[in-house]
Amino acid sequence: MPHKVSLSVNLKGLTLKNPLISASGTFGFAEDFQRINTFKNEDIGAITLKSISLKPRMGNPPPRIVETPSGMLNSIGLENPGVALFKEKHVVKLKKYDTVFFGNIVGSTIDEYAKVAREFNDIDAVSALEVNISCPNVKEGGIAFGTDPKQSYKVISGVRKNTDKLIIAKLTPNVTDIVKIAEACIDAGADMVSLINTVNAMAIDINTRRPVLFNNKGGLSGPSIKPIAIYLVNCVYNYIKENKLDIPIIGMGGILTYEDALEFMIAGASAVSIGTGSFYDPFIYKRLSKKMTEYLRSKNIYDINEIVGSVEMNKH
Amino acid sequence: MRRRIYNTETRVLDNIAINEDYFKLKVRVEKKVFEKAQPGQFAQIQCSQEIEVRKNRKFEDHSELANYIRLNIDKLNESQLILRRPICIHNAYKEKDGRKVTHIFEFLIRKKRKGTELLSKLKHGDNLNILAPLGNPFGYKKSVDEGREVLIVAGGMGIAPIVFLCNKLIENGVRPTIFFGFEEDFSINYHSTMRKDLRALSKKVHIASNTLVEDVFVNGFVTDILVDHLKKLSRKKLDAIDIFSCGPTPMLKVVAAIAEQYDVNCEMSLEERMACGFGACMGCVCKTKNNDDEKYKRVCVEGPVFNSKEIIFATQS
Ligand SMILES: Cc1cc2nc3c(=O)[nH]c(=O)nc-3n(C[C@H](O)[C@H](O)[C@H](O)COP(=O)(O)OP(=O)(O)OC[C@H]3O[C@@H](n4cnc5c(N)ncnc54)[C@H](O)[C@@H]3O)c2cc1C
Ligand SMILES: Cc1cc2nc3c(=O)[nH]c(=O)nc-3n(C[C@H](O)[C@H](O)[C@H](O)COP(=O)(O)O)c2cc1C
Ligand code: FES
Repeated sequence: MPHKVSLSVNLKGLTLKNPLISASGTFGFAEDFQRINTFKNEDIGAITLKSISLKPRMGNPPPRIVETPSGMLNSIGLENPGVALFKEKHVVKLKKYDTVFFGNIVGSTIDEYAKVAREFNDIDAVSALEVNISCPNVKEGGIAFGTDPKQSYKVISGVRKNTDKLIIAKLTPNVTDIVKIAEACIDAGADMVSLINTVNAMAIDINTRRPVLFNNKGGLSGPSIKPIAIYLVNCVYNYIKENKLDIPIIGMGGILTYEDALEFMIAGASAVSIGTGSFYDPFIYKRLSKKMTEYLRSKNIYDINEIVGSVEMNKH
Repeated sequence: MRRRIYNTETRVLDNIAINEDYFKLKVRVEKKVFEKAQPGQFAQIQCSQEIEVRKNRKFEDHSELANYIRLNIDKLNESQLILRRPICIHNAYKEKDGRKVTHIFEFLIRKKRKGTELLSKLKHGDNLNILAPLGNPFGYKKSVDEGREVLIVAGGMGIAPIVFLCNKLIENGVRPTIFFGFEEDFSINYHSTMRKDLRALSKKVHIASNTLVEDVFVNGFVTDILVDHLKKLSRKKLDAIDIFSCGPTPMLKVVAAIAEQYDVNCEMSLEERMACGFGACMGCVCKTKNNDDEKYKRVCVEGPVFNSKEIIFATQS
C-alpha cells in the first residue's frame, strides 16, 4: 500500500489540513467563492478575511484595478464595513465551515489597531490575527507603519497587549531591509510573519497621460512579483534560522501553480497564501493540493514539512 | 439575491468575424448553466495563452476536458493574462438536431487589445473556460408581469446584452421598442443583418447614426430620438414605461438624466474593470446613492444592471 502523503502543517500549535491559505482582500469574508458550483471553503487550509478597520471605510474611487504583464495593480483602499458590522453580519457565517480562519486588521493609528484587535477577542471562529502594516493604498496607516521598524514594533506590541490570538505580522516588500521590520515585529510579540503584501506600482494611459488608477498608484500582485517574494521569504527565513527562532513564515506573491507553492516552501515558508491566482482559477486551492501531493509522492516525501526551508545555497 | 455560478468548460462551435473589429463567438454550454442565464448577466472568460495550449484538442466529454485542463494548467507560459475578461451574454438559445439538444451562448465582442484579440482567434472545437452566469440581470420579469411598455436604448457595443433581453421579452409576449445609436465603424457590414435581427425582435427600431443606413438616417444621438419619443407621451403612458439601456458611459449619463427629467423607470448596465467577477475583491465598484446614503456597490454582484436613480456618475469621463 502506498504511503499516505501528509500536507498538514502546524503553525504555532494551529493545525492546517494543507498549507494553502487564501490571501486577505482576495477572498472577501469567505462568502463569494462559496457561490461557485462545487467550490468548498473546506478545501482551503486557512482563510484570511478582508482587512477590517474600527470604522467603516469607503475605499478609493474607481478605477481600482488594472491588469499589467503577468499581474495586476489594485488600489481598493481597504473598503470594509468596519468591525461592528462585520461582527453583526459576517461572523455567524464563518461557523458553517470546517476550516481555520484568520482575521486581518488595519488602523490609521496605533491605538486603532489595538482596539480592532480587542474587538476580535469574542470571535471564536477566528484563530489568528494578521496585522496589516503594509497596505499601500491608503493615506494614513497601513504601510506607514510597516516601513519603519519602530512603528511596526509599536503596532504589534499594542495588538499583543489586547489579544491572546496568534499574531501574524504582514510585511511589505517596499522597504530596503525587510529583515529589520520582521525583527521588530517578532520582538514585539508576533507569532508568525506573512509576506509579501503588494509592491508599489503605477500604470499610465499613454493617450490621456493619466495614471489608469484613480488613486494614481497601486499595489502590484500576481506572477510578476513571485521572484521578489521568494527572495524576501528566504531573507526572513535565514534570519529566523540563524537566531533559532520558532517563527513560521507564510509566503505569498504570485502563486499560480503547485511549483510556485513548493518554491515558496523550499525558500522557507511553512505555508503559503494565494490571492490573484484564484481570480484566474477559483479552484486553485484544490488543484494545488492534488498536484503537491503527487509531486511529493513522486519524490518519496511523505510529510510536506520536510521541504520547508530545504533550499541549499550555492557555495562560493 | 444570491445566485449560483458555474466554473465551466465550453466548446467553441463557431467564431464569426463581423468585420475587422467585431466578432461573434458561439459556444456550447452545459444545460444547467444555460438554464440559469438571464439577460444582462455576463461571463468572466479566461483568455490566456492557455487558449493556445488547448487548441485543436478533441475531448469526449466535459470531465475528460476538465481533467486535461487540471493536468496541463501548470504548463502554462509564465507570462500571461491573469485576469478574465467580462463579456455579456449576447444571446442564449437551444439548437435541436433530431433528439439532440445543444445549449448555446453567443458573445458579441469588440477587439480591443490582447484579451479580446486572443478570443477572436478561437476556432470551432476549441475549449474555453468561463465563469457564468454572473451579476444582476435586467428586471424584465416585472415588465412582463405588469404588462409594461418596454423601451430599449442601446449605443454601439451596448447592443450586446439587448438581443438576449429582446428574445426573453418576446418569449413572454412583450415587444419592445428599440432605440439604437452607433457610429460608422460599428455599422460596416453589420447594420443590415443587425437591423433585420432587431426588427424581428421589436415593435419598431429607431436608429441614430452618423452614417447613412439604407433609407433610415437620423444624424444625431440616440438620446435625441429617445427624447423625441418621450415628449409626445402622456404622464399615464410614461408611468407605464420601463427603459433598459446599455452603452458607453457618456450615453448612459444622458439616458439617466432623461429618465429623471421624464420621471420614467430606467435600468442600465454599467462597465467597470474586474478582477474576480463574483464579489470577492471589491475591485469593480461604482458609486451609488440611496436617499442621502452614498456608497460603492460592486458592478459584478449588485450590477452590472442598476436602476439609473441609484448611479452617481463620475464628473470626469
Ligand atoms: C459587465 C461587462 C460586460 C461587458 N460585455 C462586453 C461585451 O458583451 N462585448 C464586448 O466587446 N465587451 C464587453 N465588455 C468590455 C470588455 O470586458 C473589455 O472590452 C475587455 O475586457 C477588454 O479586454 P482586452 O484584453 O482586449 O483589453 P485591455 O485593455 O488589454 O484589457 C486590460 C484590462 O482592462 C480590462 N478592461 C478594459 N476595458 C474594459 C471595459 N470597457 N470594461 C471592463 N474592463 C475593461 C480588461 O478586462 C483587462 O482586465 C464588458 C465589460 C463589462 C464590465
Ligand atoms: C484586490 C486585492 C485586494 C487586497 N486587499 C488586501 C487587504 O485588504 N489586506 C491585505 O493585507 N492585503 C491585501 N491584498 C494583498 C494580498 O493579500 C497579497 O498579499 C498580495 O496580493 C500578493 O499575493 P498574490 O500575488 O497571490 O495576489 C490585496 C490584494 C489584491 C489583489
Ligand atoms: S470584480 Fe471582484 S468584486 Fe467585482
